[in-house]
Amino acid sequence: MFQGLELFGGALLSFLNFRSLFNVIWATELGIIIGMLPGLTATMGVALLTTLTYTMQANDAILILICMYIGSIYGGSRSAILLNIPGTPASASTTLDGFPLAKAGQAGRAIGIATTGSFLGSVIAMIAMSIFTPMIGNVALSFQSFEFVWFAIFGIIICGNLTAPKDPLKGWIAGFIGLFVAMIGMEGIHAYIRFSFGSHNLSGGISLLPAMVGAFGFAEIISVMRHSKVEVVNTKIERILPKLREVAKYWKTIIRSGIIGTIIGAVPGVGEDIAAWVSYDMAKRSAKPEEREKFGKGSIEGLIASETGNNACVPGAIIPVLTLAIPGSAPAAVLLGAMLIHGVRPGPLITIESPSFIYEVIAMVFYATIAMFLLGLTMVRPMVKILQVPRQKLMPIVFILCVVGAFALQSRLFDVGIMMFFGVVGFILREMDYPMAPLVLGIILGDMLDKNLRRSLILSDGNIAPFFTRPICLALFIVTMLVVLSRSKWVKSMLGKVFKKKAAA
Amino acid sequence: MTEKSMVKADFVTSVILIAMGIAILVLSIQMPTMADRNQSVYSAPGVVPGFIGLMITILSFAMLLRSLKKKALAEFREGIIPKGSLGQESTKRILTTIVLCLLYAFFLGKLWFGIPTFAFIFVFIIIFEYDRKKPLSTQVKKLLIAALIAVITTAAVMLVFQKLFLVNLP
Repeated sequence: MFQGLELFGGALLSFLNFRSLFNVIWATELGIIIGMLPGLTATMGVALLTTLTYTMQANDAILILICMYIGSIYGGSRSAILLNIPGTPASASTTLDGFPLAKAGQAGRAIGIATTGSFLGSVIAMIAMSIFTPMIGNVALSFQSFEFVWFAIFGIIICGNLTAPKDPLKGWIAGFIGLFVAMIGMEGIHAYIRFSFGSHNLSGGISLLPAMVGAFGFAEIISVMRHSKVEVVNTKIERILPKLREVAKYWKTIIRSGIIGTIIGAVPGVGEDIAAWVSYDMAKRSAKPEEREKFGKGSIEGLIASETGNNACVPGAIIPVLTLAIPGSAPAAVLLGAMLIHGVRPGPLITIESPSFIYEVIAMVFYATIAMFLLGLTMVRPMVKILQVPRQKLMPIVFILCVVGAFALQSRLFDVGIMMFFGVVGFILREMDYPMAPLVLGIILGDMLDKNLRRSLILSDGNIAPFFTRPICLALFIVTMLVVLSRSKWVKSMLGKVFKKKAAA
Repeated sequence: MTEKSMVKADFVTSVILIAMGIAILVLSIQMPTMADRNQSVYSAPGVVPGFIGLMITILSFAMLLRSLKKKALAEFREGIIPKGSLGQESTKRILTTIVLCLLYAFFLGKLWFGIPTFAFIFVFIIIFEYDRKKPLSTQVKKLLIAALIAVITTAAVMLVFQKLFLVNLP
């Protein structure tokens, strides 16, 4: 416990220098801008900065990426309130109450409340992160290949289930397509080249970053350009700093949303958008009847719930990145990729190899959270100007950034092609309701599944019993089956009949 | 997408995905088992892709059955592409965006980075902003602003990326 505090204190001090603080400020502010511009998502922001910062030292680069991540998830609330368009998918539920408040002339108040909610959510999740990361890390040390196989499958299934609530089948298909994409290129045990069809470029595999810049950047550009105009709410922004009483009144909602956000963040691949929706929904259910009436018409409680939820998800999503090398959300997937590029190897061994790194990341989250809060409450008016830039002027510039970002890492034009391919295919898949998050999770988890499934089969000499008899494997198997079965119609109708009979008896 | 066209799209994609799943499975089975190198059969490179191919086939087959239940085939009598969707303003905008971006990517690496970049931004803005019904003389300002944005962006991208972040450009 005290050793943890000591390490955290040391990490905090290590960033107290001009260069780090300067990086914190510009990266967070850039994050807020990227987050608030529809068409630029947190995932894309983190992916672009990963390619730009790869010549920097590991700690500087990861600090910048975390600031970008936290800033952009928060920044999405700005356009949700002023434009009724979520700047990133994470702020979709913020539009429900944020925009009505802005229309009623309370844009400043809504921005202030959203900023405070985001700040508190981030703080709650940061505390949870500092308690649970070392704990999970210690448990993860006992995991073997068998467990990691289940983690990969469980991740795909639960992510597909939650990110495609209407049609989980499509979520699962997207996940397995992602796993297949990871199979392309040279495999890790015998160095055998798979599915390259003689192409020299494909034999190197499909890099995560260009694929993600395509699926989350280019696809988004196409979808933004589809509509011609947006209107910014023309309202005077007066008082932004929220009244303490106004926020304190909803302490229960804040703590609940913070915990929900953290837990959802830690679930593989399930990101900020789902966290915000779930915490909004829970707040609505447990609100007092007179407050519940206001939900969707400008409820402060609803606004706080979704903003606390989505920002609490960020540190939550970093927990499994550090302890299991499994990303909790799409931007966290890029963050994981960035850590690997910089030679940091997250995973169970990190608690032994570099225990201080966990606390350094917590300290980075701490600085980013503070910067987000301060920058969020100041410089609001000039930021509104940026929202008024027409999309046909902005999107070509964003596309240039996508191209340069995809190219920069390995200086291959092939990667630009990959970016374009994933952009167009990603756009078409999204039009058909296939979620992108399980696809990306699949690309990341593919290698883990590949190595660990084969290793465990070699260990057990082809016997699949250990996959179901080891305690954690059994638990993961049961949860995975429950997730799948809970969504199939015949199970539902069978359960319905059983309960009806009981009720009739 | 309307529910009717979604049923059609599901039918078509499930057929494509089943074909893909089976192809992955067959290719995985054809991969060497490495048994001749005294390696365990379970370490064969085809094990995991084979499993993935199988799963894609099973899941897509479930989707195919579901779309058939929703009478996907009957929907095709009205044509594959929904009527009028090609002429829609949003479809035109989507296609224009994709074509412009593809053209830009095509010229990258063939010309010095600055030229296609400037041209892309300029043409992109003009195509979406220029109003053909109005005379050119009233829209000179639009052209000038587009050219200005294109010049500034190209210069800024080259400067920031090459000098500040030390990144190679295409």
